[in-house]
Amino acid sequence: MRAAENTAAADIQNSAAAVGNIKEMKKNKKKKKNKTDLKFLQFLLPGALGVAVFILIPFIDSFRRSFCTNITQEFSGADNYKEIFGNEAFRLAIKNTLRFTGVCLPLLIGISFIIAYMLSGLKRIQLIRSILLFPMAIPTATMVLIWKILFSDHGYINGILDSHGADTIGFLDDKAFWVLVGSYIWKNLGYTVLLWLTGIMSISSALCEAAKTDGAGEVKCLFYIIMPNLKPTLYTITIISFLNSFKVFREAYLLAGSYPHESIYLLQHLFNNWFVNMDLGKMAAASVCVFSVIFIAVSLLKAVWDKEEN
Amino acid sequence: MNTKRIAAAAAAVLMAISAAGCSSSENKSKQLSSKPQKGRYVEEILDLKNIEFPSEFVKADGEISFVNEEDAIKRYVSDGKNVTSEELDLKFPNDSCFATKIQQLPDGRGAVLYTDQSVLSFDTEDIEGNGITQETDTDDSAPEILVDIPEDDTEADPAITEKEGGIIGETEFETEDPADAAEETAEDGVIHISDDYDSGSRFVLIRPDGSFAETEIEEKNIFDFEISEDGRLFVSTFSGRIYKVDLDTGKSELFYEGKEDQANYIDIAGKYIIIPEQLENKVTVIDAETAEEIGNLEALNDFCKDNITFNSAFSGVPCFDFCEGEDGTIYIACTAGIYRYVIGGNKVEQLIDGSSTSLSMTDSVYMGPSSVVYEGNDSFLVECAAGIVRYRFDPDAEENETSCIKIYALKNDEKITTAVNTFRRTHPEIGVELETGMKDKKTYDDAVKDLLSEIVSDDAPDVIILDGLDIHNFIDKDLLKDLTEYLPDITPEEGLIEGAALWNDRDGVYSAAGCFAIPSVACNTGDLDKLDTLKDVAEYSEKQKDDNNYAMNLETSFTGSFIKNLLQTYGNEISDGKNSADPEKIKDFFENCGKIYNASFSGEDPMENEYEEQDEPFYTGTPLAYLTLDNYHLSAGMLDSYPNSINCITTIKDYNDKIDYRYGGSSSVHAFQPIMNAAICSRSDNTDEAKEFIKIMLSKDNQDNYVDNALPVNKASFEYNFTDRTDLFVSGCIGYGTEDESEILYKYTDEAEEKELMEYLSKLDTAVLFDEQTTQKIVECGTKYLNGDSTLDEAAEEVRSFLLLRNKE
Repeated sequence: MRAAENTAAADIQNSAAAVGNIKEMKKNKKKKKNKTDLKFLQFLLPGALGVAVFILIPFIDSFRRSFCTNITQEFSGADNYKEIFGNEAFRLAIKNTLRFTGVCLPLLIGISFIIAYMLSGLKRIQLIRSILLFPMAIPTATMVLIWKILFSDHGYINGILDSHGADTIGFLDDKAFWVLVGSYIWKNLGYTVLLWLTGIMSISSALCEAAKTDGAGEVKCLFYIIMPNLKPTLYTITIISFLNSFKVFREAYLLAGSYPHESIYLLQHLFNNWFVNMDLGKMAAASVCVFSVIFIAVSLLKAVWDKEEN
Repeated sequence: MNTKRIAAAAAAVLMAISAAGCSSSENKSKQLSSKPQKGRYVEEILDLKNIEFPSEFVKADGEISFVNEEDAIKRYVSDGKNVTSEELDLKFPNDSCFATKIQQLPDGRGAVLYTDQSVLSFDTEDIEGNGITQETDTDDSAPEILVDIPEDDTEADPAITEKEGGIIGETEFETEDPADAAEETAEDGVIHISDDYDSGSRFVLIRPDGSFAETEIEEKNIFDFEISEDGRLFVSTFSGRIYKVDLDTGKSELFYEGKEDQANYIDIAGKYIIIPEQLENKVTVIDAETAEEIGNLEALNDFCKDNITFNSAFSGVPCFDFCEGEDGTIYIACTAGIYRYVIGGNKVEQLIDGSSTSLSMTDSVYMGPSSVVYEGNDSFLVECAAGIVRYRFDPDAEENETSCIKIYALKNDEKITTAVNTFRRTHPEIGVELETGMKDKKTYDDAVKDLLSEIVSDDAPDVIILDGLDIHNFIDKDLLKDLTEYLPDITPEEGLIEGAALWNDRDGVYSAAGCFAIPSVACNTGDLDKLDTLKDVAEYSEKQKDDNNYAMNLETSFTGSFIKNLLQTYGNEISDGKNSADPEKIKDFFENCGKIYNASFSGEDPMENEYEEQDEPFYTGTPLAYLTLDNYHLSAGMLDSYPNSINCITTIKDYNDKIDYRYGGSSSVHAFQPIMNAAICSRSDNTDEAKEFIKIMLSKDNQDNYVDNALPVNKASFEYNFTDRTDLFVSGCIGYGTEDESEILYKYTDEAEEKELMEYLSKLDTAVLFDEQTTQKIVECGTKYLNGDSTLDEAAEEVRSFLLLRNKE
């Protein structure tokens, strides 16, 4: 009996010890987890610091300045916002930028997908991949120089037209918008094709083969197997191309200076000129607006994407 | 394994080389770092009267000297503190001689390279068809010169004595006794080195003892000469060779072959002969003993590419100079400053920033410093447009400064530098930092962005020179202080030409101009009333072209300068009243410019390729001069100085009653161009000092400096031109009349002319000035149109679109 009691007591002690051990283990685990979190932060800190110093804090300062006067920094309420929405140049720049994005995005995505799909059937794809990145390696200034040689009033193309008795075309005047579109697509096409190719190559070929065994043709494979599987790639490409379309200023600036033809007068031209004219308040208000639009657009895209994923 | 070893060995070799390179560059940087760390160079313009075009400096036995040709040739000697002068009994062979170059031997003897104009005879000949005249050399029987020093039986060169009886003997050196003349010459202590351009070739040494010798240089086409500190004479020729000449015998030996057919000036700095090459903007350095070319001059040549210039108007004279320093260093003086370099080193170190000193000053003769010498003890003597200037390092200069003001200007201008120098002299206790926005080829956009960054980061300039900036924008942004309350303090006792000085009075006075220019138009007498607008001028010019072949001489072969000139003269017609242009008036402006341009003669300038496009119109006088001199019928342009512009047109009007002129391009407005518009930045921390700067800028002390090359706003300085100036027009000749070919000499303005001018100035009502961005756009598009690179519609639309977009912003 006593032995049994002792055994039971020992069991209870063991159990208690076990419980104690478990608690201790949990505590240790928690401590370890806490330590892991801190380590994670250590890695995050340099990057976060960079973002804070170079992006976040300047943006907060811009936000503050958007409610202040230009140089004296006195609070001026929403005056700057009222002013920019009544500003013709701002409206023109917004219109041109949206037009540019609206034209370039579908064109780039469509053309690059067609090229990528055609290339995906080739065997020596590695070599082509390198070639596709060439346009990104060419400095913008060089590229613009070539565009100028080709498209200026006395450039090669107009020279040829002239020598054949045809009227010359003002590529850098009323057609400047399309030259800029061409420049954007040429520069980003290779990279985007590469993204599409990576997406297409990641789709298991077994899926298409199985479909073909069941009688599906190339078109059905494309629309029912490949394209649905490329949605994540499409999302990435759309976001990158959308953001890149706002960065075409360098080309436009080098092509036609700070006051180009009205058709290629973009937001960045306006920001540049406002800076030169010391309109800091208007510039800050406009940048807050542009940020908000981009942020909302990207958030919407993400929301749509997440919804479809779920 | 082998590959790894090879790689390791290669890495080791590379490291060794790099270490060696480091140590070598360390050595050089040690030499370069001997400059004291605290303090700064202080500028002092030496008070030497009547010094014009002095010779290069010569340093010998711790004594620095130069000679200057005034009424007599004087030798100046500096002991590092004071400069004393002595008259040299040196005379040119005849009155028509002028010094091409004067140099000295270290022992005090002089050497003169001179040209005798009497051997060049010009005749004029009408070139059929276009009504212009051209000078041609038609006299083949030019007399021999320079060799008529009385015969010395023992030393004279027989070849030269044969030419006895020439011009010299008949004029300057005629004496009864040839022996006395030789002795007299010997007392001069001067070596004449003559170069006769006409016969093209003789190079004659005339020694202090009266003897002389013709040198034996093969080609004999002397381009330049230089004498080393140890008394050796080096001569460069048009073929690019350098000869060493024995001063005793006149014999020469080829010293350096040089580049074929490339004439270059030469300079000697210590043991090096430096040959600046104008075509490539670089220098070749050779050892003055061995004639070996020195290598590893990449740093020096990179520096030269950016900083050295040549005066193409004066046969490519270098606008910089080299001199020897201590420990094998050389010093370079140019408009950008004074620099130190160790031959073969990899760094050219700036000692003095030229932009805020007189080094950057230029005029029609001095496009940069022409001579520099290192006096020792961190002191330099420089010859430049401001005169003879000393830069002395003062270690306590900064400590003695109680405050420092920053002055900002979009472009550097010698008038600004002059005002800064006057301020420094008056207030040595206040430091001055002169910042130039568009230096180092910076664009307008970048310059203004930099300025804005300074303003918002609390490093705003105290004084802003508004020329070229968007003045109205600055006022709108509350960046400028209203000077109204300071006016009693800053206005000089002598009074101001107020319309010009204090024009910027939009709800307050926001700037004060240092000087100004006024437009003018001239035409055939009786037609002046027909020329009220630019359109009238354009139509008149077309009519004159039909009647008389050419209406106007463009006075410049640069289309851009032509547009800029008309923009200044008739800018009031297209101005929108805010430093910018009215978009709707550009087309008419270009159309009228085109009509005048096509009706004008823009003769092919043989030097055209050597000039670069200048910022300012390339005046050789005033446009009105062409009316009389070349039979043109129309002229329009800015009058920007009294002696060279206003005195010129009044003189010509007096000479020829067939022409008439008017102040103001349009008769209905009294336009002017304010220049050097100084304002105080509202974010300045040194308002009192800034105010003091403007006060000194307007003071007579400073404004007197502008008398000859601008129209000063200080009344007393301006009216100084009304006096019979003895320092001007001694024998000034504008040119020659086309009818009787008589000289047209400058005359002083008379009372009636002065009254007419002052009446115009009392009514000044329209300031014409455009911001740099607008000016650049109008000139760029106008040039494209006039050169046929775009149509009138295209050019006008480009400017219109630019202006409209800017207005929308």
